[in-house]
Amino acid sequence: MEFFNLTMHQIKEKLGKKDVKATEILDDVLKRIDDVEDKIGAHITLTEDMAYKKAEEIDKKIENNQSIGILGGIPMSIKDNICTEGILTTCASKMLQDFVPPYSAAVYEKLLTEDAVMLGKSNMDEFGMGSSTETSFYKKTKNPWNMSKVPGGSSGGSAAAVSAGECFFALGSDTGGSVRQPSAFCGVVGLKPTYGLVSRYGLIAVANSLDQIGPITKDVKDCALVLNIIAGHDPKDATSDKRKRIDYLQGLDDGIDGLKIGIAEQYFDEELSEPVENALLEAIGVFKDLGATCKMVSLPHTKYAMAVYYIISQSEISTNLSRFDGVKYGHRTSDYKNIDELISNTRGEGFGDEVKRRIIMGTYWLNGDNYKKYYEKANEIRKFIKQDFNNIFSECDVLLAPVTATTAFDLGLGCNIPSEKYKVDRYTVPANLAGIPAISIPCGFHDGLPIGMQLMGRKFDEGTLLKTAKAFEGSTDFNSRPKL
Amino acid sequence: MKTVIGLEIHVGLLTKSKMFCSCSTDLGNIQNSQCCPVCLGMPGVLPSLNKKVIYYGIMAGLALNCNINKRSKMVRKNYFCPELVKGYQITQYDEPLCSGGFLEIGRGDTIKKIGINRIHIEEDTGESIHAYEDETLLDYNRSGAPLIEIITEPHLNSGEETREFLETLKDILKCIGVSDVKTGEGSFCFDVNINVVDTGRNISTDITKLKNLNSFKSVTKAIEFEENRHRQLIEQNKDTCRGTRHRDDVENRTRIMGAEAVTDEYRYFPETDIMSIVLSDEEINEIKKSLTGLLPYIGGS
Repeated sequence: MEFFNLTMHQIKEKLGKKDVKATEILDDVLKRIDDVEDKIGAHITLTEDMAYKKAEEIDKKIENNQSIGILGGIPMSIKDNICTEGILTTCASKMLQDFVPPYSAAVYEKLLTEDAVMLGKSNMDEFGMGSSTETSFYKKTKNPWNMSKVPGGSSGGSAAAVSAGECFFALGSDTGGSVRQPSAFCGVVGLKPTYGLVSRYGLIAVANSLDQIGPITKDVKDCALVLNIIAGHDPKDATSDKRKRIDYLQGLDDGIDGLKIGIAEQYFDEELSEPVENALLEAIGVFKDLGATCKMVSLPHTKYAMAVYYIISQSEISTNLSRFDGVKYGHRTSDYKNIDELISNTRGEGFGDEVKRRIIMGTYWLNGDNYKKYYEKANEIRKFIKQDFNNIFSECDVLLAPVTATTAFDLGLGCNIPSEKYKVDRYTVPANLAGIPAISIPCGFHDGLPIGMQLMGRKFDEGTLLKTAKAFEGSTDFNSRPKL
Repeated sequence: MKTVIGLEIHVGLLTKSKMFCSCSTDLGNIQNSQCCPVCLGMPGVLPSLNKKVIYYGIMAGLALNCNINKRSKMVRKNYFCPELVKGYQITQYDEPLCSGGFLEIGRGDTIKKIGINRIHIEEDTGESIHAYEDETLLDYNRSGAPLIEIITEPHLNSGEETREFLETLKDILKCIGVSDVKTGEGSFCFDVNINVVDTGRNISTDITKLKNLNSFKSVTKAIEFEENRHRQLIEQNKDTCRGTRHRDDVENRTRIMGAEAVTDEYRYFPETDIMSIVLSDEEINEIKKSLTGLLPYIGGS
């Protein structure tokens, strides 16, 4: 029997009833990987031996009627910028080609505690910098719906792996849309949680005031399941929030009668393509039928979001990536006569163009008087963008917007035009700047490619987002899997 | 002619664990035996600020009559150096923990108030060991160990006064128990900023920074040497270059270390992985109370 196209909660049910063994599920997923991974290229590292060991352990537990964790027997992929003890963690960079961390990210530990089966590390844009997974040093990942298209990025490997049935869920990270955009392009569900809900300990930082780890899943219920595990306070991350944990499965099916949905005026701009706009307009109709009220709202500072985002993220990038100097771990040049050459040649050889571009830009924003001229100003405007969201969330519960202007674009397109590429993030970046949660769910197709819809919510109100997404998912039929 | 001296003093704190992780701060153990992913600055790890460091910083501030700022924050000071594991040092800059204090030196009629500009908390770096001709070894046991940096106003006017100030400061810090202030072992070392002003002609020499002095003797000797050099320059109407100099104890002189850029190019940047340090009056008063028994002896109020 084929299992790979089932959702995680369906697999959980089968395992619970002892209809199937964890090892059988793993067999099936690994067979699927055998069949499609060469074409898709979603993974940098596969950990089959480790996966079998874990699956066997779980089968034994089930056999002996011992309790297993909530994710017992479920194969997962982890983005390659999340540290996994004893497993290569490269950030898709030459710089970390042989980096095996001696510690694990907090989220990975939580998933292992719940008996998830570690299957592999997924491909990404180098250090999370890119929107197509094409800046990876190792390979190009293809969109499972159309091999000539990109899967999106930077968590492109994670989204493609879930979409293609190479795992049941994956973790990505989202700094300016890196979970939501590939999820939209690959027709899966991707959540960027509220900043501070999920521990960042062990996530290799891109822009630390924006980064957040999030689940990529086949449907909304699976998203709630994974969020239940990874959310919660972590003393090792000083920015992680201390509030009480919520069960996101509770109330998931409550419906959205009376819910107030805002339609963000500024997000329906001249860049938005007709197919995506049409899909969203139809989605608004669906929400109305479900009992929600929809009205246009305005977030006047949205037009500054991209400029603010690039100044802040690049500034943070320039200092976060200073630690890669070839002294203690990672790539070290063989071409040096003194310490200055060791550091600069290592960084010259180890980083790709996009990474260097952003480090140089970030260094510029922070240099001398520029700090006041650019960085401080960007931070001031960031406050206005946050305020925009506060204002509209006093009158509506959820904000509806596109994730991307178009469906997945061609491989190789725009790779050499950085300014074009940067536009891709225009609808996703504001949520990172404001620290609010945002989810991407499938809402249509155009020319055989999935279209995503973005729902944004109040800080720490993932519950309402998931409930809204679930209601939409339940009354539409866009959650299909690609034929491969 | 007047000599003007200001000091930057680094004091190693006597906390059990380092500033952002639970590694030991003990000295003298095997190289690299007191390190973890956090104090080695490995990718993905995050700092969690040791509360004791704030506590000790406040104690030093109170003993030196400073204002304790109810809100202060950590920043990143960016520079590349193999001893510095992250490519930046976590320190304080525009919002330090303590500001505006003083310390009195002298006795009776000759009491002189030396202003304290600020005290901030920061992390130490590792150490290079040049054991072989063409190899450098690195020891990260001190990486991430907590320090306070005390910055004085330029109120000192001689080597002798500077020595007296440092001796008094050392006694105070030892008395309140925040540091063992051992000059030889690096838990008490100083940078001296010095120049000479010709008050009659209203001209002055450029400031010279003498770095990493770690004994009272070398401080007074270095200041004397530098004082004479500056006086000669000003008498001969020669240009003095702003620069950083290194004390050579053997030859009893100072040497230029390379012309340091006049403005700091450290691209100071907020460390948002650590929340701002917010203190209540109660918290500050608690610490004040714990010091009251000692304050009369150390001249604080």
